[in-house]
Amino acid sequence: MDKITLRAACAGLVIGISTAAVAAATISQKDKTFSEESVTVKAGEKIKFVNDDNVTHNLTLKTPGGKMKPGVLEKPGEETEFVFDEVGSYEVRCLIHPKMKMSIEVVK
Amino acid sequence: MSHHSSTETDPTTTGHSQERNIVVRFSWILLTGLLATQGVKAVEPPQLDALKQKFHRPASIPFPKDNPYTDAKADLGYTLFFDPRLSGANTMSCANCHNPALGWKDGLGHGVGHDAKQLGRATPTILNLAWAELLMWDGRSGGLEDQATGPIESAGEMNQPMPELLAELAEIPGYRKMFREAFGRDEITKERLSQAIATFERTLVSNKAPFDRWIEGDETAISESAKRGFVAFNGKGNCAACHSDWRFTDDGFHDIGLKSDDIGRGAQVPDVQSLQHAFKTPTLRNIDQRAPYMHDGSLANLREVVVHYDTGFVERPSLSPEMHHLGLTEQEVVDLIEFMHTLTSRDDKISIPVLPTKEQVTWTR
Repeated sequence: MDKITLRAACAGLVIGISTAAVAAATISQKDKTFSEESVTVKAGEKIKFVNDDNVTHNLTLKTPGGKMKPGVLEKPGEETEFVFDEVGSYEVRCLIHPKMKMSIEVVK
Repeated sequence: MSHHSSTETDPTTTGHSQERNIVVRFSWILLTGLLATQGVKAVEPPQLDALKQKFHRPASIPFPKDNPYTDAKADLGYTLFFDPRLSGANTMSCANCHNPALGWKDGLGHGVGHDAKQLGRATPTILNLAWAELLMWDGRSGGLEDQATGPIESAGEMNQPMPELLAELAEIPGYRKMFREAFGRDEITKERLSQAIATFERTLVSNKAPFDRWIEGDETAISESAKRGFVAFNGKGNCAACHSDWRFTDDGFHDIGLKSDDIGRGAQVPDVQSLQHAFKTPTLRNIDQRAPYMHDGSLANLREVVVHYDTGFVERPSLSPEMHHLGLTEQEVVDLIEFMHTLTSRDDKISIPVLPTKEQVTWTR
């Protein structure tokens, strides 16, 4: 398991964590589609995005404040975890494949 | 085995330091592996059948809830599409560039706009766009309603200020009647104009091609060479990584290594490396009707296209990770081209509409 330090562009959004905490949800990317159209998590919980496809994806998040956060390049077989601290609605898209999109509702 | 995802965000531009763990997982794509090394006869029927399933045509055309289909609206859009009065000089209709006789484009390497000036990119086809999202080579348009009036108002293309056009159309009794039939009111607005054209454009769907008949079970519909080409398309050629689904496009944006200074999608999304020099994946339906190829019209024929993907691309940081040197044999090149020919359908003939004029007080269709 490798650890990479990043900086997030959006306040309230934490990208990835290093603990062994269990993700509140796991989203698969397969056939250029997210496995869920929408999920709801509590603030502070994390969601794992798994690339089960045979092509590379580029995850971006649109925050409740409307800011776009590009972009995490995720190759086939890789997975990325995001922690959502800010309450509200997020939109997740693949910048390479714009038809891939889903929403995340973050509640208290 | 371990490798990292990479980020395309500049970590120095933000104020929050976080950590990210990446768990690398082994992923075996068994079918792809088989296809990469074996021909069509070596692929077991269940595997081939599963592959064919990915390319089945949809049963119906999707129309958006906020612009549902009606005959009157599609008929109005059809009439507007072929009307040269939509241009400032009254000489260019949408069909000048999106010519149904030329695969809904123009047969040129670069489009030609107002005053016969050459445009910066090739004209994209408008075939099968009902399923598309983000239009234009660089994705700058969100959808058909948004796109429809863009070229009309563009100074370099049809060069028609919208207020002038709406006033011009309002002077034509036949158009007032058609807008009333389509929208319930005579008033001609930009929104209604775009909705009508978009509705017509959504009806432009390619018919079943020999390939469709093959995946439906007719083994005689395409040649053995084309069947091998289908396997190579999904395997060694890796074409289906982007040219996926029944339209043979992922509606995505990829840098395929064309030698050009045009950064395409990168101009819209400047901070993302993989979108620099990236252009929208075009459909391959009826592709043999639309030479020359690529956003810049730089490749004259399908052989040049296949050779480009095999050995002709420029390697640079933004190059799509789906691009690899393929090592195709001459027979595989031939098979891939043969396969692409099977995607061409015999489509319904399009007649040119009789346009309403100011002199026609009573307009009947």
